[in-house]
Amino acid sequence: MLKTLETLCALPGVSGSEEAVRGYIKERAVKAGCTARTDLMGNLIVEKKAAGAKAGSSAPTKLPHLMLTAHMDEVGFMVKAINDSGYLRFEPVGGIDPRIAFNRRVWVGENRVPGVTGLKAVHLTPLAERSKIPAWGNMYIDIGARDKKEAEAVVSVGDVAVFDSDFVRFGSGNGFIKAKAIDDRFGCAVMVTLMEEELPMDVTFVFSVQEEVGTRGAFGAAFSVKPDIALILEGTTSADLAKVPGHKKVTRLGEGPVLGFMDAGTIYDRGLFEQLRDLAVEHGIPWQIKGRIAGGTDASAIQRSRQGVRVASISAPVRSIHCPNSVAKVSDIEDGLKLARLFVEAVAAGKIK
Amino acid sequence: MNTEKYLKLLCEQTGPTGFERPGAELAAEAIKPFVDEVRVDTLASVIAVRRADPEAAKAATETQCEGNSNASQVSADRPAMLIAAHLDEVGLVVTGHEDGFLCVGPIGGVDQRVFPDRDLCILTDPPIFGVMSVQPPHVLKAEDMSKAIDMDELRVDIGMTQEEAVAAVPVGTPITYRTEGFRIGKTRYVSKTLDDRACFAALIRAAELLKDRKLPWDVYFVGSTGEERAEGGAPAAAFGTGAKVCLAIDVTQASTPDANPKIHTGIDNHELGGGPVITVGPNITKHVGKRLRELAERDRMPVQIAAAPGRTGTDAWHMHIVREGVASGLISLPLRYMHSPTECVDLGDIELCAQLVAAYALDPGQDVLDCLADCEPLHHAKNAEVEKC
Repeated sequence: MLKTLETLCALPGVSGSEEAVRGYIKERAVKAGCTARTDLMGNLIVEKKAAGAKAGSSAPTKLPHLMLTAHMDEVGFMVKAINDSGYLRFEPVGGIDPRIAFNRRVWVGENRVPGVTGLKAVHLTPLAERSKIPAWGNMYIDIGARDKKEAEAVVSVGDVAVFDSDFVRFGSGNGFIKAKAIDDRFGCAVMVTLMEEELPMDVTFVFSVQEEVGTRGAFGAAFSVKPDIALILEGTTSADLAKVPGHKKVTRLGEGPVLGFMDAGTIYDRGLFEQLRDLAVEHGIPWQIKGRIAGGTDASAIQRSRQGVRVASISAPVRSIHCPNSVAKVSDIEDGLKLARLFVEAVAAGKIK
Repeated sequence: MNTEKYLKLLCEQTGPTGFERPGAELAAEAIKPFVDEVRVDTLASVIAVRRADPEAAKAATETQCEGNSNASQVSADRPAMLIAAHLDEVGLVVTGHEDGFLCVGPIGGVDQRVFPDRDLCILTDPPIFGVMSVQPPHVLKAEDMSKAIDMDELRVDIGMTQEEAVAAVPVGTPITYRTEGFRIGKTRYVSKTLDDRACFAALIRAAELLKDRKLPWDVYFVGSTGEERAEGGAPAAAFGTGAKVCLAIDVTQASTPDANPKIHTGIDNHELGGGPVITVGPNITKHVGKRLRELAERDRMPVQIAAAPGRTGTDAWHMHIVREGVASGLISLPLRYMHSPTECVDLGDIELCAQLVAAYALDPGQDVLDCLADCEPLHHAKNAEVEKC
């Protein structure tokens, strides 16, 4: 699964421009014998039949309709203006910490024009200014253009820019990874892995769009898929860092997948939360909850779909989430996959309370 | 010469101030095909030389080996010129460990604001990967988001427990950026450490331009060390070679939208792609600055002029006062985002820098000879003391 995650993280997919991620996953879905369609929003909806079931036939016993969801999009930048000297003014797409925005290599637009976000040299910055972060409107991307005309030949206002970042394994036992977009290619990688396995029941996999700008894709996907149960696979914040007191760490790397019970957008289905927790305990998988009621997932959109949907979530804790150098722990990622697989098996076995 | 190939080779090598030797050895290999001799000196500076008369030099070296005490007179009869670009780079150094993360301090003038979420190369043997951790907005107050994180508060994530980190990364281990170089636009190149290895690439190119050309003097190409902390690699090389004319080739600030010299600090900003910058001022011997401008005009080379009323913040400042004093000059390469992991230069500027250096090496002009003639007696006396190189 790590190889899949590495490939997925490398693909560009800023909210609203998820084509490359969708194309890659669709190809794998088709190869895995699934049916795949792209809806009007751009969500990729993959139907995987239970092992042994003939295409078109439904499961022998009436099981709940299970949907697994992960979002394909990632945060990035959008070009707002091109100035006379050929620099691009930009704003973030999704939540980006302005403190990490400069001196970054980026790829702009569909032609993947290389550029770098600028910040004047420290020598030219008065002392008082060195402790301040420039506002978005004062930042810029340098694409090496000599003037506006040269810039306009390769880039347009409205183009999105994506971070450039490689995939690295590091830390003790090479147990850590760093990459961009672990939020939420982690979820995509878990789902791609599962959709290529033999599953005990029919499962609908939704690879959603535009989660980072307001869970926009999940609304329509939940409406058309009509799930009874939705399991959201996500990346979630970790402040598991030096000097951060325990209660502020939010989640901790290496302490297992994070089970959603409540965040800023959703109070998750209590029964499903307990089921996930019991499965983890039963199988010796570490688990944790978020130590802070914050953030949100596609669950907030899915839960409110039609007459309501039971929602649960499994998340990988991620340091520097929404940054080009996000960090996660391999064991959490693998445990997340294990727990998601166990959950599908439990639903298939009719064990869901 | 493929300049980009040399930029990639030189800049991606790690070599913060004080830890330059591996980079120096690489740079020595790179310049070797274009010079007569090359070595790495006590302070890890690369000293490469093109002899004015390679045969005579060879003979002199041989007689010297036989114990002829007059051998050093060969170089005393013929003045030498030295052209230096520094090989060291800014970085960080490990100062402690906390919860498995590394505490750091600066090597040279780095901007604390570029570090949060920065991927880094921790120079243990072998090097390991690290990323500067940054607390997520969720655990901060809104006003914290517009504040820089102090260097003292920065911690590097190396994916280890406290015990593992203490064992794996000793205090004093240096750290650098880990940017791979890449091209932007038609003629621009982005990398870490273009300050000042882009200028060493220009020296290699100048040596290439001078290959098989007859030189009036011995010309030393020096990859100096310690520049970012003013720690003397270049002056030591100037002393050791006994050069009478020393040029520093270093980077200078190129303008960016947020750095207008008139509004900001008064430091000169120059245009990227506008050609090399020739400095004038007390740190620059008049006839050197004048000759560089004449040569640029003669060869119809676009150049920019910087007026430096005092310290230039380059090797030129330190080399100027070596021994009895040397004739000093400064050619600068415009560069954006200095000391960041994404410094940016124009490839055309590098080529022009190399051409200007080569033009000066071929023909430093009559003024310099007149000046040297004026100080002839002293010149000979001092040169008798020149150490064997």
